[in-house]
Amino acid sequence: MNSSVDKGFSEPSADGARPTRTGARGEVLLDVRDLEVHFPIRRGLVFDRTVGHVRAVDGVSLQVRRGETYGLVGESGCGKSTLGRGILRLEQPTGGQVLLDGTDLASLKGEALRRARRQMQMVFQDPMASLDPRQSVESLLTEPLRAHSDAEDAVPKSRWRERMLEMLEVVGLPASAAAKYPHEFSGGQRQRIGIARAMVLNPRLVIADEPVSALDVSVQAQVINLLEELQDSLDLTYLVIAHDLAVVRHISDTIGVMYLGTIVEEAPSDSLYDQPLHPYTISLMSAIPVPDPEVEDRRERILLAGDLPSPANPPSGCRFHTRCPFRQETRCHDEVPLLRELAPGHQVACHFAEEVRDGTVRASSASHDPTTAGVLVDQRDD
Amino acid sequence: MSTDVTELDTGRDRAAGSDGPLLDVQDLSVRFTRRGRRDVHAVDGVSFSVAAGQVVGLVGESGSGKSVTSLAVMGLLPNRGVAVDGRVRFDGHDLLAMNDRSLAKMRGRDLAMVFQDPMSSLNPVVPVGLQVTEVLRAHTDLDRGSARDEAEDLVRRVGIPDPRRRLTEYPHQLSGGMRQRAMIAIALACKPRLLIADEPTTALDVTIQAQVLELLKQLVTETGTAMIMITHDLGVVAGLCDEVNVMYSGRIVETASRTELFGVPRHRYTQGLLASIPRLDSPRGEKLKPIPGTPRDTIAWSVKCAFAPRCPHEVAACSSPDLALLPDPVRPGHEVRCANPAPVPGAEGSDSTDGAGGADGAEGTDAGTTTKELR
Repeated sequence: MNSSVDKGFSEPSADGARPTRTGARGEVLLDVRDLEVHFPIRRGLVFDRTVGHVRAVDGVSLQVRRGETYGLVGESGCGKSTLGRGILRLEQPTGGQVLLDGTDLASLKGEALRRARRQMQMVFQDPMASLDPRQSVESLLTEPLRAHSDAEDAVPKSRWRERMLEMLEVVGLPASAAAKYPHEFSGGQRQRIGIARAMVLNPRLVIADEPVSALDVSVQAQVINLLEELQDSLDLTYLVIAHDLAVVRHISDTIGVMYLGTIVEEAPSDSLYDQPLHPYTISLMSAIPVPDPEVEDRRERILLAGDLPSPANPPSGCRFHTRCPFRQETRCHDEVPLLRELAPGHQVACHFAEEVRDGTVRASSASHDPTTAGVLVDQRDD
Repeated sequence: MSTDVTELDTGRDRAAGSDGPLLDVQDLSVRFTRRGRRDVHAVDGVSFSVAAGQVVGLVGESGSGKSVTSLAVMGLLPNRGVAVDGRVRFDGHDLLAMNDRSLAKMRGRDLAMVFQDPMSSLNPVVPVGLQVTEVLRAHTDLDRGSARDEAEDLVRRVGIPDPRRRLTEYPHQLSGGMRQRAMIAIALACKPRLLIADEPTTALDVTIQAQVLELLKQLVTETGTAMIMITHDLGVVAGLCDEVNVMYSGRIVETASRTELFGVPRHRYTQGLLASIPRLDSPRGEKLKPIPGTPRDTIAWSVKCAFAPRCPHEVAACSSPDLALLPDPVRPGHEVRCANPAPVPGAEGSDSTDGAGGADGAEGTDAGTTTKELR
């Protein structure tokens, strides 16, 4: 596959389908500042009152550098998908700024927004639901070109087909796929089509929302490798949203852990794995099954109690304090922790992160019932 | 236990401190038939056994036949258009030969199942409480009041807070994790001797998954329930199962104990799966090694090895029809259906040729591998 990638993209196409990238690798491409996406909760038939808000994304700031991959992890309902959609303006943010190369996307309107969309594309989770079953692959892949045919450096119509075939080759599908329809492909191949469609306009930023979670285990690795190869050859910047920390750690340079609409910890990938600092990250990591019986038998598992609280009425103070195994009597329930930098690039929103790290604050082991109390230390000996 | 059990391959009975398997599946095959179409062999000669207090895993990707195996054991496949062959013995009873009535008596009482998606397997228009007491009322002689008390106790034990209120609620009012707990409470209501869990945690978040797995683990150790764990997640298997059966295209391709399977995977498919998943504790920056193709690219086992089209280590011997599941000569309890199994690391001499067992053409094995890899 590598060879085909190089073949298609080692040089910018003559027609300028590939705008020359300004700026060097490593400088900030996407700068999200204090983004909020709140959904109103409405009640009543006659008087359409707003009785509250679901704070799906509640003040998130993050920066993604050019050519890098930022991974967002969290459980379902934590707002990670809404954040991704809010950045792309697929949801209207209710507050904050999204700067893509200096342009504030959150304030763009109408025609300007439509033009800006060319720079940012999305790969969706379920390729069956996100590909129109009545469109052939050729039609699916040329649609973005058609939609943005008025741009100055647009691909001329005469070259659409060529461009489409090039994309198919890049994602590892045969040229014969062009005349087929989505149902004729397997899940992994459909996801390749979805990726090709996102890349056909040569975007700067690609947001991939759970790109592999709908795929079979043996196929996931193919798609992950494809995304990595495309990033190298097309000079892409990724924001990858996933619930699987192992997948995210594999492809990301930086990882942000989300809980109930906010980022609770952000760190370079290795640093997060070597030393998770936020109690939520620690519990999340301990809950992920590792395919190795020796590791599984040895490790301590911190079980979290209960479910995610409602984002319509988040807990006061630290949002995680209702489930936190390290909860303290003071501060946790009434003081909102802010992100603090404890190591270079490693930020954490916890009042007691240092104490947790140094082991002076320990996970409570009040009960061995996994449901009532937070902790169950599981040491199974065979 | 009936005398039939003694005829069985004794090597299969590896459960510590038990005198015979509780469930014994021999040569189970399920064919879906449809007029004018070729039969689909969803399950093709699957044999395994489960002893009390043992957790046996069935691992495979979609289409490998793992769920159909469990449905066949439970007798939940439709009567029409399905041909089930083989023998399923549960505590001396032949489940496949039983009529619907007596099977219905056993299901829920001795055999229970937890399904993958609790939203579609709970009745949406019946309160959760009634769905729990229904099982109790059908299989025990508890009256309505004591069934309700029992249900409350069950629901509390599986970790649903405020059980009295929750029992009056409908499935849509519970969160995903709680629904799955309610399913487990229903399955456990009559203290079944065999629990089949079909992807019980796939729809759940990792923190909730950890809670549910912990619950199932406690159950097996405390009550001695036998469990069949069906999953595609090798991580779940590594933490929970005593015995693991890896399925591919309707057949078991590798059987081994948990530590053995992960320590020394012999089948190329198992090996490929383990190499292809990103691990939390592996060094970063390494490329994943995916298995080429998709689970759909199979060939009928009666022609050649079904995994051969995706296998990078295919040799001439792989083309022989109906490869057998052969015990490893040096590693007891490890069986593999592969003409060119992965060598055991550290043990020279016992590499591919040794493990090839009865497969003919073992001579050409090594030569074949090299040419293929060079390409």
